[in-house]
Amino acid sequence: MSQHPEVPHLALLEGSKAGDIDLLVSTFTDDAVMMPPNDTTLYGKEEIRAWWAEYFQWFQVGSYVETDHDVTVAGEQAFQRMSLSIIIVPKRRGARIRDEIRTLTVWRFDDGAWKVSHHMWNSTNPVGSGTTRYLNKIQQRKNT
Amino acid sequence: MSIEAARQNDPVFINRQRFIDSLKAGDVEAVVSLTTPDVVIMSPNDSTLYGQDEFREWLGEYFLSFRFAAFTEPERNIVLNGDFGTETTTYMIAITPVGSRSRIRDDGRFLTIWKRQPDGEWKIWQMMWNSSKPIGIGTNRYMWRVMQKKPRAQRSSK
Repeated sequence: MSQHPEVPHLALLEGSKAGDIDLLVSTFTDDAVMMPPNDTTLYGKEEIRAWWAEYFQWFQVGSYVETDHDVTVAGEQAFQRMSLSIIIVPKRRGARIRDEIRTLTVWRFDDGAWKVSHHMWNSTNPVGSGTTRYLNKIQQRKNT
Repeated sequence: MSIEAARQNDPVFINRQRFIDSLKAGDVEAVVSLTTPDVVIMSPNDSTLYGQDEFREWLGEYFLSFRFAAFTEPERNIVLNGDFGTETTTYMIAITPVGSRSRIRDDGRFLTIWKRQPDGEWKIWQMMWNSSKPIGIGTNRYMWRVMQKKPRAQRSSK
């Protein structure tokens, strides 16, 4: 059994639902790597902050339901898988987007707290359904 | 760096190379042999695969439709922690749909968690990947497969 507190597995989701960039960024290690689908890899807190700031210009997370969750703690690291049903709300135009996503997150016990060192996600939905948030963003841009 | 030096400093390196070579060869059993019995595979736009049998079936179905014409990983990083290795790689691939001369090119990333087995061998325990390209470019292999599954008459009527 780990001597550390439990991995705060919902921290990223709570931060993204609240649109709280500082909370989100504080969840990551200084050298974190974040790999969102259909986008470039982000290295470090500043790039991650810029990505979330841009994301929240266009979208907010309406709600999420955790459908599967598994965490394996190995000393100073924890490996977490999560499956989620999520609703994303475009801020300027367009219908709600429903998506089924999975996350694979590596946590590191850093300075007395669990922080995210690696974070990746993708959708289980076919191309053109849940992932239409990218097309939606293009549409929103056209209409501004 | 020579392969022998890489093996000493990075015990996962050789199996990563075997993984890529096996995918390029379309060798299902060789790929599956590099995974743990409880492997979890999370490929984009597809359901999660639990265990070697589900992964074997998925690979078998995949290779019915596609072959890798090229597969390179220009960037790779690994963090070792006891019996676990956290590996990030970037990939550049060219996929040839079976029966077609066209090629689908994609760039993306793998996040792979390796786990050292009791016999000392490092195997893939959890793996996810996604494309770094915009939707409709690299990821159109899924659309290609959907079209292949539709009856020919239905396709030609579009």
